[in-house]
Amino acid sequence: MQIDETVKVFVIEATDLLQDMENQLLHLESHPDDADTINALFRAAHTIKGSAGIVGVESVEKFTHQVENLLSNVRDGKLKIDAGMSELLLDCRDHITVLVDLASEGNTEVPEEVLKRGEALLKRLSAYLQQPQEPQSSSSSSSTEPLKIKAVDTQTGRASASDNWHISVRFGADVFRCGMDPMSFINYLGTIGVIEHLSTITDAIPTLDAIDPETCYLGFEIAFKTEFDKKTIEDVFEFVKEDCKLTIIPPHSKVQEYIKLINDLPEDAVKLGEILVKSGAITQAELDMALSAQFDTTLKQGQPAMPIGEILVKEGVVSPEVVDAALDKQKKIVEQKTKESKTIRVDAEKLDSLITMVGELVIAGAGINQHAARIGDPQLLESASVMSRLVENIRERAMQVRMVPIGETFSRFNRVVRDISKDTGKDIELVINGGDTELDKTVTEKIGDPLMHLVRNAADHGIESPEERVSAGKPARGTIWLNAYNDAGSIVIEVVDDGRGLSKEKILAKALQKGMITEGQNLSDREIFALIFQAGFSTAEQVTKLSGRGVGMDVVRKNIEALRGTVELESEEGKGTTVRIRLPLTLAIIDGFMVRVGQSLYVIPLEMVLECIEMPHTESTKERRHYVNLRGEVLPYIKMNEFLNEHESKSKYQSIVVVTFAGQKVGLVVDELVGEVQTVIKSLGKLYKDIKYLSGATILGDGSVALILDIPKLVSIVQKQELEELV
Amino acid sequence: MTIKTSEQDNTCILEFSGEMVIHNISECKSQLLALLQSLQSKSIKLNLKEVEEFDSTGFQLLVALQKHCKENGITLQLDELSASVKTVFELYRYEL
Repeated sequence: MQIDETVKVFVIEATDLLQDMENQLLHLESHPDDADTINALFRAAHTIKGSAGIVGVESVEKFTHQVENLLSNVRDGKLKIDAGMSELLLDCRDHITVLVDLASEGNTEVPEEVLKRGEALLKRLSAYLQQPQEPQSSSSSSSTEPLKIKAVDTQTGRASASDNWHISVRFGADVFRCGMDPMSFINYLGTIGVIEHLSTITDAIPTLDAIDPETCYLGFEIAFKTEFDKKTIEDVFEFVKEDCKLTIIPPHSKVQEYIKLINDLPEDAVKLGEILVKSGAITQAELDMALSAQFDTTLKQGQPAMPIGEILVKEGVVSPEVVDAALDKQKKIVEQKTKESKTIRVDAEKLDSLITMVGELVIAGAGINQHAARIGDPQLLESASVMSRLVENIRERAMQVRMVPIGETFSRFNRVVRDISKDTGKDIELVINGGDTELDKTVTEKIGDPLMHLVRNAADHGIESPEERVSAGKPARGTIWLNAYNDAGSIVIEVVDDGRGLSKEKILAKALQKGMITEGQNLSDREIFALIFQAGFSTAEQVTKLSGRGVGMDVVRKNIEALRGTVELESEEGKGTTVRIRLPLTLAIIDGFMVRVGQSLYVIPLEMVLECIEMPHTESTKERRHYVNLRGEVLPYIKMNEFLNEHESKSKYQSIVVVTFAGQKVGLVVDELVGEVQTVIKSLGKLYKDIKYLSGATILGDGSVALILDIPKLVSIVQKQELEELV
Repeated sequence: MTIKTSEQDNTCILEFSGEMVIHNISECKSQLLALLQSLQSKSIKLNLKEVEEFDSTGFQLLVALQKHCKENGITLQLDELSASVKTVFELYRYEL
């Protein structure tokens, strides 16, 4: 079924908002009075409802509207969030998610059981709404606050009875100078609808001696009937939109909208109010009420009347967007958790093609540099150097654009842990560290599922019940840590728990049973734990609905390896378990260190390079002992000529490039150090996929090809070889 | 634009003819102002029958004139309007 473009956009935005709502609701469980979060929660629901209405997803609009009502009561202090309401709101949020998903598939029909669920939820919601409301807390009637406008129904918000759009426009001063005339706009409006009522606002026109006759001072308040949409109406004013003040209020909007408009406009409020009443946008009664509150304040405090807007803002009657917009301006830079930051949605494909082009740019730039160096012209060299710097900047920015903080993925797990805690009766806390560590977007998306599995494992099998924990001398509350940090060119993500840990004996026993290992095989701790990642392995005594079926860990491993990452496990029985995932930082362009081995050029990722030293001449004659003394440290080295099957080294003086990864140091013996280079990684293609120690190739400035070494793989291969040789 | 003045029963009658549009509106203003400086009577009648071209700048100028008169206690009346002036006032639903 064809899905409307607008619905697609709605689904994306609603999904984001729904995730926010979940986070907010979880936060409110422990902080039920946090006004900021309550406001944000209300806004999210309000926005979802509004957008659903605009794109025509009725199911979502109608249901969310009720949720919004409840939240509005909470926001106004009439209701407090307790455990029951929190649970209900989470269920409602889940239900809205289901409805949004149905919409994204193009289903306009809501299946029976979903409908039933919705109705049950609505019943629970209305139970709250009919409760006798809490009396106003004393703080809101202190002498510094004006009277609350109780009569105006702010919850459902009485809507204007008028069928008309309300257009308010104040033309910019230069309209005439730009060769235009407000008349043409009014006339044009008349061609797309009917102007039911029009008031020309001449308040701004100065008297004859003060007027600048070529400046436009005109404004209009128009009641307009049309079948067209807001955009069409807006487009009428396209040529002056930039400089004029234009407000369009749809038909049947809440009274507050009009009051807000009155207040935003420079002219006298009473007069504007009268115009609006005349045009049928609001009734005289509604206007009177809003105005009387204003006069009441004046009378009570003997102060000059506050603008209506201010009163309404203080009461919380005006749409909260206004309140919060003002508050946000005063706030200092917020933590990444709130999504108030300015963002733009970008099509991922566009971004990818941009990055590819940047990659080509890097190569071309390198070419220019080479030629410039050869020609030796100082000015050319200078220009080339400037260009290189700029290209470098672009490259960095381009890479950063694709990076998203992993905290977004992490925060999903709060819900998971909470639900498991409730379901199993355990007390588990989730602690997140390093949520602002950034990862490439695709990696962030793909790491979600494996992480989810690991977190579930930790919660389900790792953390013991409170009784067990206490009798083991641990605190009743178990903790799961999600850590993310950078380490030498990789991102490390850890899932750590202080639960019961894994028993090496059990693992060995199981592995033996399944024939994965043989009797007498001597495995290091690392290797024992690595067995868990093999297919078909599970030491869980019971298979729960969550895990234990033995299909989890090896799928986790595969997913991580597909991202060119590694995963390992550490555990201590009785104390806890740590699962550590390592992922490469970037994909397309790397900073590398180029070396020559034999006749070929190889590139080593720069982040892994620690230092370069001379190869002691004595070593090169010895075959077996591949170790060198690095300032008192033992440094194993690999002779790259041998390893890569290159020509025997002709040079007497070789160099050792000391690389590091995962806390280990290894030396690579090479013929020549060429230098730093910035290159685009090109994959080698299927033919070469079995060459594990190469992670790709790159085209240098002069067109020649260098191979990029995958250091971790390289080292593990050598280790394996040596083990085999020992046996 | 030319302004013809005449008097009738203590009321100054101003007959505008020609154009009151953006490209001559500054001139119109100076003319009007000069006229008002030398005005004796406290009552003005505007005859706009011969105004062939009239746009929003003209409209604004008339409103400005109206404000001036109000400030200075001069009564202002509109006598006849040309078609182009009527068009604008009707579009803007404005009564001077």
